[in-house]
Amino acid sequence: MKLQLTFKNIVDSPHCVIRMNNQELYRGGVPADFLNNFEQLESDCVLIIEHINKQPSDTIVKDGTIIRDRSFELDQIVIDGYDLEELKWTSEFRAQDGAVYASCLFFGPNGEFVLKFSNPVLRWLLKTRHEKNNNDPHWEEDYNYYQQACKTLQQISPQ
Amino acid sequence: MQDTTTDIATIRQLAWTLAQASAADQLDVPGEYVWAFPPDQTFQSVQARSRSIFSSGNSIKDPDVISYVQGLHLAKHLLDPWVVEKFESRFPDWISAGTRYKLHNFDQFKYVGFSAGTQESFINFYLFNKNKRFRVFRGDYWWHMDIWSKINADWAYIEDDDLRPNDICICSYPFALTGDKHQNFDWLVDECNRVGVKLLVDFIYLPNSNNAVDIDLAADCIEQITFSFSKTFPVQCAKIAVRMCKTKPQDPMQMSNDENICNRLSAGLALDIISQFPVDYNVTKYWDQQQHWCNKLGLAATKVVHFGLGDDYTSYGRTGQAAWCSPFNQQQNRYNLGMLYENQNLLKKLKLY
Repeated sequence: MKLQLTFKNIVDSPHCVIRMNNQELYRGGVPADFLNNFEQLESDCVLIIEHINKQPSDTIVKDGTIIRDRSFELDQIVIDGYDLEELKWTSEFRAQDGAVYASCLFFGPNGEFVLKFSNPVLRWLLKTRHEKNNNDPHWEEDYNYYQQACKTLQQISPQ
Repeated sequence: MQDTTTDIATIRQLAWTLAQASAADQLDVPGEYVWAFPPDQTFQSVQARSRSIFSSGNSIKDPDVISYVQGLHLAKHLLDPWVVEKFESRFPDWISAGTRYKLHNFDQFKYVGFSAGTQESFINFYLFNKNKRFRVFRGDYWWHMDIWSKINADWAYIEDDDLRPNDICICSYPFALTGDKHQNFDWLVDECNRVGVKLLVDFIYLPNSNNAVDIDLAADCIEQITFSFSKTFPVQCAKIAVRMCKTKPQDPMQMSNDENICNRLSAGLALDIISQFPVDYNVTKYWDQQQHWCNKLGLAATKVVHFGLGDDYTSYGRTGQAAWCSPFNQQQNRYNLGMLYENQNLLKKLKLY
């Protein structure tokens, strides 16, 4: 599986851990772009991006207003070449204090961003989009034709 | 409409395979239009291409024609001031040599003009008749309706109103949607003559047709006829066509001809092609292929060799943006079989032939 993440609005060098199904893929300062190829055999997948090591002193408050805060945002998730686009919002953020925020891509407090999906991601994308929008009843047939076409052509591919 | 049952499942499999092969540069004969070419191998790109694989009326990308054209030295034509005239003088004989159609009184069309695609002829036709109401049968070349709508021209389908004196008609023969004579073509000619309305006959698919066309061009209403190269030979983007008229036209296109400023590269290419290939080259070469694929896919073979008719394989799950290029492009029951002919080797290798 090829995982590409893009982060934005990275303030004051926050740190994170990126895991897929408990396999740690990265630990360190939040990068603008993250790319990793790894073996993923399981069908059910859980992507976790954990914001770590933030201290109370990393939030600067003046006159009751936060004027600077160590934080970052998740901008884009691309898996096996497919941009999850709006489906990145089918996630939740579980803050360390127990609060759970649905559809939250902002990493303010320490805590975990959790996205559940299934592998292969294209199949999950098509299925999920149809479940949400009810506009592509033939997604599974198309998916199967696509897979079949790719497989058929790979037989004669020089690679 | 037909006795056969369209094998939608096989057609979809072929469409997806050819679309993916196009994206992966695995076609036997590359060179699709940019609008159709999948920009990458993602599902969405391949899906979009899979739904247009059999659309368009364009020519078979015949590898022998492509090879011949690639071997030509076209730049030399730029130095030949007579090349357009040579092409225009030889074209009628080339057409007349065809034995698979009958153009009675073809010799009445003495004025032969090189046209930068039939679209140049059509634009001039629109311009010169801008105060008339344009009329076509439903299913004719969508470009007319699209352009008329865009320029706010007055137009109506022939089916929707009587012919009136201020009307002017266009009809393709063989008819664009069916690859055969339009069922009301004879009525249209009679009615145009009775009402005093002119009719441009567009022989768009004539060279690829077999016993579809039998017409008396002496009819008073028929003053202009057009011929397209892009439906016969893989030279679409060279924009080669011919307009023939009974009387000398007085429009911008004719002015370009009179000034001798037509595209010499294209006219020279056209001259080279008609010197090398007979008018029924495709019918002779691909008739067996048409039978093969129509039998395999449950399509009705048309009298135009690169078309078959059947149920619309793209109708499933389609939304409003399903028509390509134009909302008037509604011809999904007409299958352009060219990609199947061109990619015979690939399809045989994949055991899809």
